Amino acid sequence: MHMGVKYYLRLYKDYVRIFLYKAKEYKGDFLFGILSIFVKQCLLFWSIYFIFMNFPSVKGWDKSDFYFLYAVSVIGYGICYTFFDGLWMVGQQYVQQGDFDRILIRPVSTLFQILAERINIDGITSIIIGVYVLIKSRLLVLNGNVAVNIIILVIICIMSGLLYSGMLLIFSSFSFIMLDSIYLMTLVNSFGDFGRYPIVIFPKFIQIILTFILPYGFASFYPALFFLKYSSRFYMLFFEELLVLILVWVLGLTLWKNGILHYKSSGA
Amino acid sequence: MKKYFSFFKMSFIRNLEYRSQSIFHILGIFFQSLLVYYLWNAISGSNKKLTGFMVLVTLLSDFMQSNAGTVLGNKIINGTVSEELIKPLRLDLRLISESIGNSFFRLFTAIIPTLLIFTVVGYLHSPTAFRFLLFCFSSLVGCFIIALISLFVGFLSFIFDNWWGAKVMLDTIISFCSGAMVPIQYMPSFLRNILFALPFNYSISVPSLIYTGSISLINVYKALFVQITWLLVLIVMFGLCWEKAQRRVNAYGG
Repeated sequence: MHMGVKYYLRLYKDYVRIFLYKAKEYKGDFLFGILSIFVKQCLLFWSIYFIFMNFPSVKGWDKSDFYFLYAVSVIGYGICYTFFDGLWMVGQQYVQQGDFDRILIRPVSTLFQILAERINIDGITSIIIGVYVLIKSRLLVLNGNVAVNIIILVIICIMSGLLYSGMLLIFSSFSFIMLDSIYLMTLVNSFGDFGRYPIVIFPKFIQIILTFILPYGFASFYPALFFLKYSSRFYMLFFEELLVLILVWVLGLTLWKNGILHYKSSGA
Repeated sequence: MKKYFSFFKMSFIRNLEYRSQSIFHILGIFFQSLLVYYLWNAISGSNKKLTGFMVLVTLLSDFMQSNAGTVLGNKIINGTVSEELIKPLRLDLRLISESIGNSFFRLFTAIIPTLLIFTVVGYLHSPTAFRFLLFCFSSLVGCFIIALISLFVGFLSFIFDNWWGAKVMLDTIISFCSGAMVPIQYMPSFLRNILFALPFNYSISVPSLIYTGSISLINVYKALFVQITWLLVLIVMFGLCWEKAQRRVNAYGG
């Protein structure tokens, strides 16, 4: 179980290569996947555009604020979909059908295998669209040093992706007990949709849920405050977010480890 | 007819069996409606009619969501479709009955309770009895229309194996074209004119307008007429495609 980072990197590269072979073999499918994500994201951004064609601002937040928040969250979702999509399949594919047996007998981390077996390169589409909208939403050029802003933005987006996937990890671990927790994951994920908007437009109790219970507020709203309201509290926000991220991942990994102990093979 | 009704019943019962799944789904619908309510309440500056319309569109989209296409797609991909075609019943009717069974399960467990809660809290106005009847009728026709469209998408599996992509595409297109992302009347005129004519508008948007009372009765009758016409057109088109598809399966050998 104690292989080095280098070993894992090499292994991951091989998995990526397998994915690329698959994409080459089923070219139509791959392109269709990219097209469907492209259409989805375009229509979502278009909708925001249409909303602000009719309503100039929403409780003091204007179009570019909405674009910005949405873009950060789309990039976060994109990262999560590209690299962590295997978590969705834990119940259906691995626990219910007993496929987890195969994972367990290998001398490699279980979580790593599940993540690596399902890499969706087509998720890059959402990341690209998100980046395009970020650039378009003009916020990069404002307020000081462009290079610093870009670095901060990259960090924010990666953290957002890690937060979405950490939350998935927590709730996918329940699959080992419930056989399939995909519906629970969908439910939790639907709270993630709240996080795509300035959460202060929602009532207090939802803000509290999004901050303390299901911390999706940290996926784009809190970090984006730095750019949107030029909060000087950035470093505070940064550490708060880091803390949330660490808590989520520690909880997720603990649950995962305990979940595996509950795994019973289907005998297949 | 009776055998298809038993499929309808079966999918209803299956949902009851998988209780935990259903409970999470119900909560999901409730929170999604809440999100839509608060979001549009903020966007529209507490415009009750618009907010109510968006909540109804969300609920109806969920009611009408159909898995007929994905089931068909899966059967085509793994070849079991040929087995199904030998059985003494029509696969297309069976899939539609199952899909409607699922819809009705969600209707009774999730959509009606959410509607009631929203009405009691005062988020939604209740319509007149007559409008409510028209709303039910229009939603039911819409449910069939969406199930048929979903089956059409299932045919895509003859070309692609990627039914997941097809599902994402269909869900997105339905939610955009039915006004679930932005109400159609707020879109630019060229787009509005196209979308107003499509069946998505008549299946989801129109019943919601009937419910919130934002459409005059004369226009309701006109819309219902177009809606039924769409249903008939789709049935005929589907029948033709189904014939062709069956021949294609035979050629494949399943």
